[in-house]
Amino acid sequence: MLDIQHLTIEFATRTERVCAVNDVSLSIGAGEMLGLVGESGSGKTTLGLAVTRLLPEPPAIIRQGAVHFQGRDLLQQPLRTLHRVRGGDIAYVFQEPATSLNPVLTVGRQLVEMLELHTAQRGRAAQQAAMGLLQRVGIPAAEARLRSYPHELSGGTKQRIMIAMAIASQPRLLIADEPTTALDVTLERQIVALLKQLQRDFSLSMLVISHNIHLIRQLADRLAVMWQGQIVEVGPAQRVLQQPQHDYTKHLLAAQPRVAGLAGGA
Amino acid sequence: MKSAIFWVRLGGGFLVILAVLAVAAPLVSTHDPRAINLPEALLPPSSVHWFGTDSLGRDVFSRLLFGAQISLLIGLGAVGLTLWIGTVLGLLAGWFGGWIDAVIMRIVDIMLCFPSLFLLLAIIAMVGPSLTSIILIIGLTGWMTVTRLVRAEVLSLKEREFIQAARVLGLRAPQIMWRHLLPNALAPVLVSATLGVGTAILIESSLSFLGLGVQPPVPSWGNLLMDAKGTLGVAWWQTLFPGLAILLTVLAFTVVGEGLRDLSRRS
Amino acid sequence: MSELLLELRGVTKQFPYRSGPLRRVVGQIAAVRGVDLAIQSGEIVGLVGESGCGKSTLAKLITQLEPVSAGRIAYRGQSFTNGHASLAMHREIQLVFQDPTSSLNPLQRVGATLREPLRLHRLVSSAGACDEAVERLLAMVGLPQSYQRRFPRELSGGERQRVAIARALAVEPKLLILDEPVASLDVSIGAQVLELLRRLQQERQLAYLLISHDLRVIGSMCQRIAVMYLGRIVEEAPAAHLFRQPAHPYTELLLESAGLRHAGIEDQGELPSPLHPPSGCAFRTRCPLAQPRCTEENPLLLEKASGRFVACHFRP
Repeated sequence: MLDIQHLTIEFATRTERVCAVNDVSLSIGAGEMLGLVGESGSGKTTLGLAVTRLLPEPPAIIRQGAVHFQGRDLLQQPLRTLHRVRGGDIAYVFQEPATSLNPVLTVGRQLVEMLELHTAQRGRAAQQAAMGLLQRVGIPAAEARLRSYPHELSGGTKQRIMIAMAIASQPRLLIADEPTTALDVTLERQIVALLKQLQRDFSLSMLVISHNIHLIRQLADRLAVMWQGQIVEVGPAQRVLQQPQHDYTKHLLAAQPRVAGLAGGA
Repeated sequence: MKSAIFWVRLGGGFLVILAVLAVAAPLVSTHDPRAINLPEALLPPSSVHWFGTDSLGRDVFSRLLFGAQISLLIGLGAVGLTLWIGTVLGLLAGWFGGWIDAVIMRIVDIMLCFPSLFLLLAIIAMVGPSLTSIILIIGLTGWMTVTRLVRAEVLSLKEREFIQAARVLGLRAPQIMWRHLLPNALAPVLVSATLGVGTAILIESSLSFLGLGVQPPVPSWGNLLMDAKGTLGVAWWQTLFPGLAILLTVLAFTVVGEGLRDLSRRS
Repeated sequence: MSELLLELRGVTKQFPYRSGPLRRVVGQIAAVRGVDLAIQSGEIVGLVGESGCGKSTLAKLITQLEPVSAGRIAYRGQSFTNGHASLAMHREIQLVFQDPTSSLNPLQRVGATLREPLRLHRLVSSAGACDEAVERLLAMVGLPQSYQRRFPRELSGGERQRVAIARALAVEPKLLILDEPVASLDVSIGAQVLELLRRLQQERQLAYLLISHDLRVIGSMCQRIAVMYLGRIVEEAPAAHLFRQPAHPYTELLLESAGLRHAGIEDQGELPSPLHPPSGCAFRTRCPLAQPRCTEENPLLLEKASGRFVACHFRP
């Protein structure tokens, strides 16, 4: 589905040059969920944005590498053709739904806009489809929600709407960057269940980027650990979590707070 | 585009040179600025009189230097006054809120309603023009902006955790205001103050030009322009140099002020 | 030999809610509703809950950053809900904030930040003694002496948090409130900070009130845990009991969501708005055990077994 080859990205500021992503190769199969784990500064967010060249260039410089998706190298495509891919075949869900949603447009407007942009649906059909999407992501009273403005909604509902907008175009790949970090843990659980459901229903491939190991553990089939711009370990999620090979992975897992006296409290 | 720090350095450099020249005016000037020398009236710039002479034979260059003293003194003095009043009121309004805030802001609103020019003219007419009265008047009519700025900064800083931490440590309001609020609230105020000096100099020049500011024979740049009123066709140097001095100085303050604003915005 | 340090009885805090173009007060947000809590000296108590449960507000009430709307807070028997706390009180109870970047004055060097509380409370008699004390504080939190000259922006997140801890401990409090101390830090840095806190607690026999939304963090440190939901404490128990045999349905849900329990609990509800909390038991909108009684009557926090409190009509 997605094959990243030897990707290297640098950031050039007036004073220095920083290598954010260093010779990273990663692949995601069809219908697979890959978890990308790392702490701040590991380059994981940069990597996620680079897949569809969402990084401003400059200051970002793609030194080398290729991103193969549906038979083409996305990094070689002219920038203006990529907007069809973004939100289309490759959709994103970000951390802060509050800033991702336009505050002056109703939810319905924004959803319909997505649908009209990436599918053949228009007008009435798009409205129906929008309502269907809201129901898909588990939002009750979908009709009323369409007329709501983002500020009237709770964080969990907004994130569900973000997910609805992401799947509106029936993407092949969903990239979620810290999708639940801004949410309470009980909500996180619901979103995890939703994402799993959607993955089953649509045979979605997913790249979930997070520092939250608990989230990745629930979602990922395979797990890649990123540190200082490099992938230090990758493998089946269970294996990596239970038998980490690389020192950093071991260090990261050991640093997770453990509930005292509880077996498997991690 | 040049970077912000470049402009700050450029403008700042000019102002430093100006300040040095102004302070050293007695040493640097070539003639006595008040020495009337009618035979030498209206002479164009020469190696003796670098900027020429005015209609009374006085050396323009020397008058300009001493005028710089006046302009800078008034500019800095007036702005100093606005900073004083504005910061205190802004701190009180922002920190205490409630009726203190309401009263102070209403006074600000009322003061802002007066057209400043008329206020200045009216007060000068009553008090009579002098160096002190001009500084006072420009200062007393310009503190409102500073108050608003400081108040806004205090309101946003009040909820920052380091202020709350100071309260939890047991610091009392005056200590918190002095040590924690004020230094952090000053950035936009500094920008406004720098721009304000330029404005103050312009106001002083305008007042002096109208004869309502610094009184002759004390040289001020506005005065020089007033003296040059009739001779524009004959002695361009008499108008050009004071005008240029005002222009460049106000420009320098503006450039430094905006440079500082860009710098502070970046951090 | 422990004594009762802090006692909260029926503590309630309401905030006016303003809306509309005229910012008129249209309602009250009850951030904290009738909370009872007791902390003994040398004890580590955890307060866990999700957004809007009132745990951060409670920290502000205890440290007198906000006045209480109703109820009583007493320290060693002395009540201090009215007016401002005395300077002495600020020596007893201190607070470490969530975000170390904004909890330090960006224009104040580390050394000055640590000197300030020492001088304020007159804990040092001379400049020399002050310098020594600052050196000790830095060493205590594992920071090099050269950091005294540094500004917060020259420090990493973890280092800033250490400075915040040193500042809080400078006055030698008996009770340290930690409001999400590692939530803004990377996991590995957070682990180091938690380790530091553990060590300090043992060395100085401090009491901690650890506030967090992260059950794992709470579980790794605390002896006794109180669970909050929409302003009320719904369960309080020794840590081991809370994790092995949670009594309140919300505790069960939290544990399940955090992956610490696998009982297959269903939950599709969302947190109700604090403006309009459900009548009776606030959790009833998401509770599998909900009955008509829950709508009418708010269950009180009752001691069901020694040291174990639950606020539910049907549990344990």
